[in-house]
Amino acid sequence: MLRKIAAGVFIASVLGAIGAMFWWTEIQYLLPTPIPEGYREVYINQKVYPGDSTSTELSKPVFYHFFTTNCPCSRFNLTHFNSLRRQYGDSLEFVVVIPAEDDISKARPFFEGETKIIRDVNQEFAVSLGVYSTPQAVIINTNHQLYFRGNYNKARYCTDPLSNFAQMALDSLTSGVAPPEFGPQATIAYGCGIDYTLSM
Amino acid sequence: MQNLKLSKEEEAKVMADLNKRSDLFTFRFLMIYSVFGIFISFYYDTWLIGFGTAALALGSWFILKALLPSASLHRYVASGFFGVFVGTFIYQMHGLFEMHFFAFIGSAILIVYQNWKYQIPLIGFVVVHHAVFAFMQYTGVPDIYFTQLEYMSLHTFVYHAALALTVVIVCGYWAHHFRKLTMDNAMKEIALNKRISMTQQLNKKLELATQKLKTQNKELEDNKSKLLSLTEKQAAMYEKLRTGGVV
Repeated sequence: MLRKIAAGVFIASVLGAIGAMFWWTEIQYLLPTPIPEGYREVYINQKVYPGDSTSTELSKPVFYHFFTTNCPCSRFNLTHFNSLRRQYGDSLEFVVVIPAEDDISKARPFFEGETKIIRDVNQEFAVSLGVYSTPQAVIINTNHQLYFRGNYNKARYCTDPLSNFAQMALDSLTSGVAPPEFGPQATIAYGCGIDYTLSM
Repeated sequence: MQNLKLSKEEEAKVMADLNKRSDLFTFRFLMIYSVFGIFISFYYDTWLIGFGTAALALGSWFILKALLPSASLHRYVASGFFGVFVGTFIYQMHGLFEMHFFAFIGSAILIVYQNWKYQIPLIGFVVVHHAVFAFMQYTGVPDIYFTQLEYMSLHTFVYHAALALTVVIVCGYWAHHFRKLTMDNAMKEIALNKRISMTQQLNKKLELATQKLKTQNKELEDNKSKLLSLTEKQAAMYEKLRTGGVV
């Protein structure tokens, strides 16, 4: 009888460990990232000046990739991001933004070549661009207007070519048309939350 | 022979031998799955999942076998882990579709036990895994199905689930069918052994009777020889008497 109880307790622990493992690595990211306190929405076409940028016109549009090294979701679309950088790197400036609590040296190995990586001290870039989760893509045009902010794909591993939102936004931008509207699948953020308390 | 039926003890003995062989076979596959999980951790640095699942799967096998050696619990848990590995492999390979096929391999491996019930934890976990993803996703943003697992429309998902269920049902059927064949064989073997033993007993009796017959034959031969020698003597005496009388 004692052995049966021990086996029962053991199985319950194993199930708990499996549940915890799946929760920690996957399930918690299935729901949209909770919107942090103090978050202020930044709208499409709104003028934005992340970091120490001035109001002078930019030489190239900028593509910001918000990334966290220890976030599983951030790793899912690395291949996709690197391919976007290769494809559009001549017409846009690609910048990887890691949160204040992260480390540039840890992020470097994930990106090809000389990708520019900046550490978002006080989460200034995140706040000024209205980003509260990673991975997220943000595009601003040369007039400092927010052109696109949202998910890369509706599938977490970027496996659905018909919903490559960031890529479609890049195509629209390079074609010189108005910012596209993709709906909630593109704009509701999934992934790992950015700590907004560091911005206060 | 058709009316024969195995007793519970005989059935348990047949299954015990089979389970022993099947345990070895299944454990080898658990090892292969574990090593494969660790190997694919290289792709996206999923070491925690790779090592964690391997340790839990192999640890559960040994601990449950040690705690309840005569029970089948470790087999049900191993079946569940064949399902868990499907989920972890999909995650570790970032949704690589081919990883779903491991559910089919697991289902085929479990046929070795010739018990359809061992298919239940495997398909149970796969169903729960998919259902949790679908439910969580739908709770977050309605009208998006399974996209966080990988891109899959509801229509595709129905085929996906139906095919997985079909494989498990087919494997369960074969497990059950093989069990019947094994029991039939065991029954025939037992009946055959009984007949062999009966024949051996009869042979022994026949041997004894032959031995007895041989002894009697020998005695008879001896008597015959004696009788012949006596007859020869009588014939000689008669001849002697006859020739003596004539002279």
